Amino acid sequence: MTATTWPSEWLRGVLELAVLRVLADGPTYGYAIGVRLDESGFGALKGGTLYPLLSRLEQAGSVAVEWRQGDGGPARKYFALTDSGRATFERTAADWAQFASLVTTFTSSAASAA
Amino acid sequence: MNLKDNQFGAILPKRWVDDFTIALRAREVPGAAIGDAIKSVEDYCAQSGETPKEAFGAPGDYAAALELPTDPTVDSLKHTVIAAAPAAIGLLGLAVPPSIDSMQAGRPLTITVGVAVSAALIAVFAVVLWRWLEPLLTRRWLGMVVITVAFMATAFAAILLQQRLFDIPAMVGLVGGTIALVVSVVTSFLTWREDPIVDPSVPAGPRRRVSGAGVAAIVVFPVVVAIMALVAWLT
Repeated sequence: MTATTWPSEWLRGVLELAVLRVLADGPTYGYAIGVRLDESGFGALKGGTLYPLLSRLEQAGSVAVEWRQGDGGPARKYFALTDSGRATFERTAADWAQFASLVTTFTSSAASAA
Repeated sequence: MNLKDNQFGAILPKRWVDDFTIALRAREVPGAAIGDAIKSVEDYCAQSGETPKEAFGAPGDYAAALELPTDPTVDSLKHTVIAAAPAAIGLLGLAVPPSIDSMQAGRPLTITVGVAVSAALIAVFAVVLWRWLEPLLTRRWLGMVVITVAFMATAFAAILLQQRLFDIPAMVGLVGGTIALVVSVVTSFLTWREDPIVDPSVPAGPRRRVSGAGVAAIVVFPVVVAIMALVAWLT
């Protein structure tokens, strides 16, 4: 299985954490977040998937937004983690690591014969 | 800069932007947030080279998926009544032209069954519009059918149902109708709310409380009634 064909229900569960992780590196704009996630192996995400998530994070106060004029180009909407968003990311990342470890341990254990 | 300027939303298909805007307006999303959402789509499509349909899907579905601020007061019954009252009062101004006809003929103004039925139909269609605004605007054929049916039913009722219900003095119709028009215009100006869709990347400049388009929307009906009254006076 390649990284571009992960089941959509897996991605739905982890996408918010992945976006928060991208933003943990610093403010960036929507298209760049999608490119970064694609390059990281999550597959190509549509704007229609990414922006509703960003709007939820904005409404929840996890990200702050700012329109910045590009260098000779169009203005772009930058998203930045707030303190609350950073705390959410750190907590969720720790929970996810624990959950992923549990799943890995469980599924890799030898199956007992019936 | 607002949505009507060529530079804002210009690279997006007009139909997609229109349907997206209608869907968000129907959810009572403020104009500033709609402008932000449109500008975001435009920015994304400019970078990805995709159309909004390819990147974001159907405008109604994408609008439903976004979590945006809303103005809860706009959808309230109180707000609806305040917004609709000036127009409802203004409809009484339609009594002015027939009152002039009746005065010139030296007879009272007859209120027919058709007038009463038309008024009731207008009230019913106003409720229909309020309750099902989004589907009527996004499914344009449905909106056209409903508006056509509403217009024809109202017009035919007024024309065909000529049975006399009651009479009022023509002067009462003229003065009452004129007062209703004046009250309608004044209350429209007082309760008018501008909520333009603006480019979020451009600093907002000073804005008039009622725009030129708002003034036109408020005075068009009284002007039409005034022209009808003038025609009634001259013929």
